[in-house]
Amino acid sequence: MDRLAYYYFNLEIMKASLGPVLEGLVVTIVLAAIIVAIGLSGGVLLAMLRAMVSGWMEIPIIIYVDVFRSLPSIVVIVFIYFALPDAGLTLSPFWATAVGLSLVLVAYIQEAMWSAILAVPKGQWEAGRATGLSDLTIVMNIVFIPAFRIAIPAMTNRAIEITKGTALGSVVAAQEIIAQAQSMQSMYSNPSPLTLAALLYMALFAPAIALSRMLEKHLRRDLR
Amino acid sequence: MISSFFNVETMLLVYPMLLRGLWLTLQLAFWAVLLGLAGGVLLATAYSVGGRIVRFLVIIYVDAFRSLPPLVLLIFLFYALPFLGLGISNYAAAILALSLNGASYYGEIVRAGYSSINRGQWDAFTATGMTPLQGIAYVILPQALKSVKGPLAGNTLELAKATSICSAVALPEFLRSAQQAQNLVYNSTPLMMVAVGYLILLWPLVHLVTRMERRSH
Repeated sequence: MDRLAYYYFNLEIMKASLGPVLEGLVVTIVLAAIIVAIGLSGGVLLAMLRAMVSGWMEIPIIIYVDVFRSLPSIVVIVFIYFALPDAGLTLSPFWATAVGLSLVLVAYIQEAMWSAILAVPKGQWEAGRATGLSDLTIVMNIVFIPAFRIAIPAMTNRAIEITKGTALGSVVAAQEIIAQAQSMQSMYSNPSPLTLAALLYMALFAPAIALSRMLEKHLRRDLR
Repeated sequence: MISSFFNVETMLLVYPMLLRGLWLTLQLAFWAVLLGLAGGVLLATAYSVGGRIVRFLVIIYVDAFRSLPPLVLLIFLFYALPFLGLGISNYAAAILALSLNGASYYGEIVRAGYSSINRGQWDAFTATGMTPLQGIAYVILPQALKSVKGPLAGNTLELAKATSICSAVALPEFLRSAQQAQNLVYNSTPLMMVAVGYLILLWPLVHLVTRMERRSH
């Protein structure tokens, strides 16, 4: 029991490593904010664009979305960081992580929003067209709000999942929580910083998950 | 550009290495899905037959492991457990981390499946003399799984993709094998091959998931 406390809940070492790990927390939060902002706006815009174009114009969007849903996030990040320099594009670890995960989140948000748009009854479109509205007006003023409401649970879940992926930034040495904790762990040869990191992640994401569960319940009751 | 991303010489040189990595990825995915699903069914079943304390514990487990990035769990198991003398191989740590994580997601999904089954069915199988275990196994579970097959497929896709995080604990799976190959040949062809490999492998699954999720709307 003493060994358990010494190795995993060593308060002295946790205190000593708190500074760097909190710096990591700030990096994680900034990364998350960038990814969610780009992912949400980009994904929703892409879905609305897809609703307005037709035929072959849809194909590039479909390919983009399918590619980034098929590739594991870590493969995208590693590819951006280690392979793109060969094509003349070098990004810092921070931006490789931010760009990689944003690309992935855009794809997932597009998918959530697009299936929600498909779930809006066809009659709404027909009614809009019958009154002479353009596709742009229909999407903006008629379809958008109900589709967005339908998509909220899926979008929050995806945003949480992809934001958790910021931990993957550590493999390209982005200095977020787990990267900092790992270097503290090797410095002190004691894994307590890793416990600290795990607790921080839980403190960060457990409320988000609880909130999304409540939101989902609330919306489901509303839709009835 | 072609010589760094589509270098044929490199391809011929490194493909046996990548194939070994791919084989390891498939093994990891197999065990993670199997153990994760079994764990998830166990959690959900405990929730649906258990009392308040059991329910509370299941929710704690599910939420804790859903809020922990799988990579953090893996690093913890791999780097922190040896200090207790519980050193496990990176292969075992990988399967354990992926299964623990997978079980929390599968558990949440199967729980939703259980709650979609009419309570009257529980009374019905009891009335026919089945034990609760038999009733769950033969009556409730098959229907519950069927009603959430879209999300189950979606989570299986995510779990298969998550095997790639094992590259971070030096397990030579698909991604790691490409990184090792890149260090050997100094060009990006191996990474390109792995990206294309994942696309070929997972694109059909992505399509299947999309179709199943759309139908459930």
